[in-house]
Amino acid sequence: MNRLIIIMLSAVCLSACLAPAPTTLQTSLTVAESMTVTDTSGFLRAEAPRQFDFPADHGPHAGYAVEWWYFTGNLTDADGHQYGYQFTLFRSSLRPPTVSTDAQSAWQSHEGFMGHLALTDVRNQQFYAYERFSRAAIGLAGAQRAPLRIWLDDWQIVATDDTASEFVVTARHGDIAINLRIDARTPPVLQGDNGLSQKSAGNASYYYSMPRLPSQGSIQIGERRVDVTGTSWLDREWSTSALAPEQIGWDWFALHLSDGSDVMVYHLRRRDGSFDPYSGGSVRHADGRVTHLKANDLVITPKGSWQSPHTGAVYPATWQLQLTPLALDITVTPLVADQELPVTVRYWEGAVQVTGMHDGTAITGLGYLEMTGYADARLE
Amino acid sequence: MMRVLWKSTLRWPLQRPWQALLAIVGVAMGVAVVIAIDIANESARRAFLLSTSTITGRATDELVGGPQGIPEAVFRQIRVDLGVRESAPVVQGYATSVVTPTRTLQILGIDPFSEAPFRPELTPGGSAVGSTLAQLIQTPNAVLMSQHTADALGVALGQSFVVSIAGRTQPMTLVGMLTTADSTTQQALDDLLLTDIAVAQVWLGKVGMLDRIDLILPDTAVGAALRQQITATLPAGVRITTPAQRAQSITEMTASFEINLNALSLLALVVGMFLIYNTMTFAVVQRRPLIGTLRCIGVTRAEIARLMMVEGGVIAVVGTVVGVGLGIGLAQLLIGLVARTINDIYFAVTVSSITVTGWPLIKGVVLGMGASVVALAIPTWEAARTPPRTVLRRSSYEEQTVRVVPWLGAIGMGLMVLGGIIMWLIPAIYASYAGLLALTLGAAMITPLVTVWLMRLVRPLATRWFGLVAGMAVRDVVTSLSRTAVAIAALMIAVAVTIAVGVMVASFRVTVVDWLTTTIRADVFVSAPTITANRLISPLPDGVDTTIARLPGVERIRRYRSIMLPTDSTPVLQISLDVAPADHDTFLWAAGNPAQIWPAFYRDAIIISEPLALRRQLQVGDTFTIQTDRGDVAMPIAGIFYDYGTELGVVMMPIERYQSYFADQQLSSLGIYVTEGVDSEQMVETIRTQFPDVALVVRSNQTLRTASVAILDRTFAITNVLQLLATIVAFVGIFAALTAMQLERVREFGMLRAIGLDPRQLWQLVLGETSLMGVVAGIVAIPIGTAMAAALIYVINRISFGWTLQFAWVPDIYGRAMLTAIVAAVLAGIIPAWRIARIAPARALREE
Repeated sequence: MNRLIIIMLSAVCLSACLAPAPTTLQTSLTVAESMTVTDTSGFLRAEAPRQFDFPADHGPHAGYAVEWWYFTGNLTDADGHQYGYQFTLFRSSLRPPTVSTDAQSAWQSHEGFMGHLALTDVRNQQFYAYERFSRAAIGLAGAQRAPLRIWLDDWQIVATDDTASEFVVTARHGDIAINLRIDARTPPVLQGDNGLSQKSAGNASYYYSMPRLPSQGSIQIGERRVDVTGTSWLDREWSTSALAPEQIGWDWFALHLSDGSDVMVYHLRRRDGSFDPYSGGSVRHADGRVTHLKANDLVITPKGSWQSPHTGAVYPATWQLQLTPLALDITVTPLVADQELPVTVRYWEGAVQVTGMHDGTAITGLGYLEMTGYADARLE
Repeated sequence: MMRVLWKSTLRWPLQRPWQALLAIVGVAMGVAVVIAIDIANESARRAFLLSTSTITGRATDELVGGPQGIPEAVFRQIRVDLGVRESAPVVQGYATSVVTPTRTLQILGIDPFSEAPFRPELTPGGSAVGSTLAQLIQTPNAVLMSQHTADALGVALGQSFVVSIAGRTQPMTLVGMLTTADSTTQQALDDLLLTDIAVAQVWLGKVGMLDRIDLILPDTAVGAALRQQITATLPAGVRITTPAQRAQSITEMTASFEINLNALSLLALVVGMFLIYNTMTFAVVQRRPLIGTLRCIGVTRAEIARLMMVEGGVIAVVGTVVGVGLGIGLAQLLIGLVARTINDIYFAVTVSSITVTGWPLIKGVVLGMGASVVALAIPTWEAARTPPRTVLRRSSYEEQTVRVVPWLGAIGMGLMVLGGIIMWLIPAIYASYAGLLALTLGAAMITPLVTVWLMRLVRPLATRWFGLVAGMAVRDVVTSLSRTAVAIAALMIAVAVTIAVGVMVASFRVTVVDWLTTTIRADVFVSAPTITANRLISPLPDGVDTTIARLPGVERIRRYRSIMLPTDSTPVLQISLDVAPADHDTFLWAAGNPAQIWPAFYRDAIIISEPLALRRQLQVGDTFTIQTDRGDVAMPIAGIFYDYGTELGVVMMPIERYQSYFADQQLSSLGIYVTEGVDSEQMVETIRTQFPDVALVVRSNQTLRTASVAILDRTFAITNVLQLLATIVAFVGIFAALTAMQLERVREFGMLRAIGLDPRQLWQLVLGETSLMGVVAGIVAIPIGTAMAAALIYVINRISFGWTLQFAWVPDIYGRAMLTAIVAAVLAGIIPAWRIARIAPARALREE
């Protein structure tokens, strides 16, 4: 969903990553603001619905300033222990590919990549998260369409065949690792207007999701390596423009419900604390039907609060989500309270569980929640 | 009682402020020279290590390659295939400021995306950190530097400027400032230009290559396993090492240079010590009557001794403190010379300011105080020991001195022989210097004896030829031997040092010029511009050789490829070259038979330079292991040639063999032979116009030889400065000693005036006496200086640098030394002569 701020920030962070830790956040944000008004001429813009073409669209869209491959998932091992993972590769253009740079050195690159890897160990209430940057040069990082491969160092996403019926995702940092085979045969859900997702006036992105992907493989935490199975969610988005200045953050839900439906909701928050009318979402029902949700279909209520011991930022502790047209009323609770990523631009993203009612019957579920703009807001 | 005693002590320097002042100056100069050299050396080394450590950052390991560096694909392999995240590529090089061409700038090309764990010091400061880095990546030719460097280059933020890289002018834009919290790292940022790796590759002509890959591997079993895994995947020619190892092997290169500078500075201290001794002895001798009187009225020996020690101590402390200050100032002047020498002959170092650490200061203080105490102890002991009645009689002291002279001479002879034996038997640098010191001290000790002999010899002649006054002057030298001897010895040592260093430098020059004449045969030489003057390791642009070979008037060309070859210890210079039969006599052999050397050389052998053979104890028939791009290869040594280019050692092999072992087709320099009748200078012009856009250094045979000798002279600049300093120290001392000595005799001169000596004769007497001392010092200095020169040339040079030098007899040096001695002595006599001649005899007699 809408991670535009992150990605715009990341474009900056790609360079800001050099800054010493204590000042990084502040400086990168300062720069982020200047980046939002930066000249985006020369890049393509998401302005009208387009024809999607798979598996080609799983690959990069070089004309757009930013793009990401965003995997989240809920996994279980043979003993029934629960885990969550997030694995994201962001592509960010430093300049439009049309600008020739008479590059003599292979290091000359117009693209940078950022990667986030996070693992949640629910039973031990542990959370691990790492961030990486690299330029797309000399094969250090990059994205290619055929054969499909998106990588940053040894973190990578590849398709095992030409039709991209299966993704293999591998990443390791220190003694944390994931190695998953992800079944991608379910057709993608085009978000917004046939894949054109309006974020604010005049700003949109191309956005599709692959909500319920059966996954299996292994994860490693320290010395412990376990085989796991579960469900992954892939979000793909590319664009050139950013959020409007008054939009300071969002909350994003990606939930697999026990009735076989998948819920995606994004909740844009405005600087004045109000609910942004560009918020929205979709539900894919068990039969494959998709219901698109507008802002006025949603009632989203934060409940309680959790303060990060790392940044001091205060996040909602749980959420109540009411999707009125579908008679769905659910409560979303983090499986581990502290799933705040200690990365350049701080945000909270973690595994959640769902309880609630659908049309009068009890319903449960698992999924991922992302909360951004809480740590940043404190700095303003 | 004690108060009166202290008062008497205090009055003495107040009565004779000049004498006290000169004593202080003597101590101060000796201390200053030692401290200055130490600080200059230390600063250069620290600057190098600091910039190394800033540039290495927190890397635990690093990958280094052959002459061309590391193919950048290796980095991808390490990062992507092996998943070693904490890895960072580095491209490094040097530029020079166009504003001040002597300023060496270091270019550091990094990948900002890889940097975070490595070099936190190299973080841009200011409010817009992120945009600074974005600009670094996006602005063409963008660099970051410290404010200090920007000021030095006269560049403001956002401005464009040019520097010179390998002779080309390179435009750059300053997009941000590097700042650090502490001043130590701030200094490491001096003259550093930080840029993106893509830019650095293009600027430095290293597209596709990296100079280094920095790694942070955990200090655990996992790290060790990873290290093994990395080693296993490395292509031949790329090695894993540690930053510490590399820095150490580089700083070891200058070890000999530093030792020699330190030794020279110690020599200055030895001269200084003589001065101190001289001054202190004199202070005691002058007050023998006072001491006698004091003893007579009941002052104990211990009290006298304490008195003298305190007094000397004050002079020592004041002198040392002044010396420390002077030394720091002098270091500031010397650092440039030291840095330039290191740049010329060892490695590029950027150092613009001195770092004062505790150690050189402690060393200087200990040496200064120690020398003063020793110098003071002997006369004090003597004065305190003598019975009061005898002490009051000056003649007793002189008699005693004369009695001691033969013994002193014998001990001196013994010391000199001992020094010779030490140098002969123990081939170690410190032993050699100890031997040299023994030689020097011994020489000082025989000086009084020689003085007595010489005076005895010239006295009858002097009276006969120059009259009574001359005879008196000669006799006076001997009768006041207690005062004259030390002054003569000090002057003698200073002059001997001048001779020794002069002869050594001259010998070096003669040897090198001969060697250059033999080895530099081609008519025109072409090379790429470099920072290190005596090593042509920068590659020439491709195709220069073939283009030149096709020029009309070119008979043939010799190709050279020079690289710094890493070894298990210090790196050596490897020169791969074309050797045609006509070139065989451009080599001078220290070992090996040319009839066998050449066939072996063309087959599979190498030839090595004399310093390398001496340093590694290699002989013809041994093998030398070369780390090639195809792995380590042990090559047999066919011959050892004389070489004065670098003490690090040179290895030579045919260029074809080099190209087969190293993935490097580049050339460093060309020697061009023109056909009969073609003018070399004309050819230089032709070649220059052939490559209008390429930075090439094209020199004729004559120009290159001149340039080589100029570099040689430059490397001796610091030696000359030290020699000059030693002479100044000596001069000050002589001046102090003679002035004081003559002034003390005011009463005696008054008496002489009273009995009929006119002022003119008095002038003659005083100047005659001092110039006689100068002559004696000069005469003794000639053989001693020659012996010291021999020690420097045959022992110390050989041990430190491995060079065989021809001994050059340069009469000029001896003439100048003699002149220095006499002029110094005469000058020292002028003030006393002037003062004494002015005093009315009656007043002079009333002096006491």
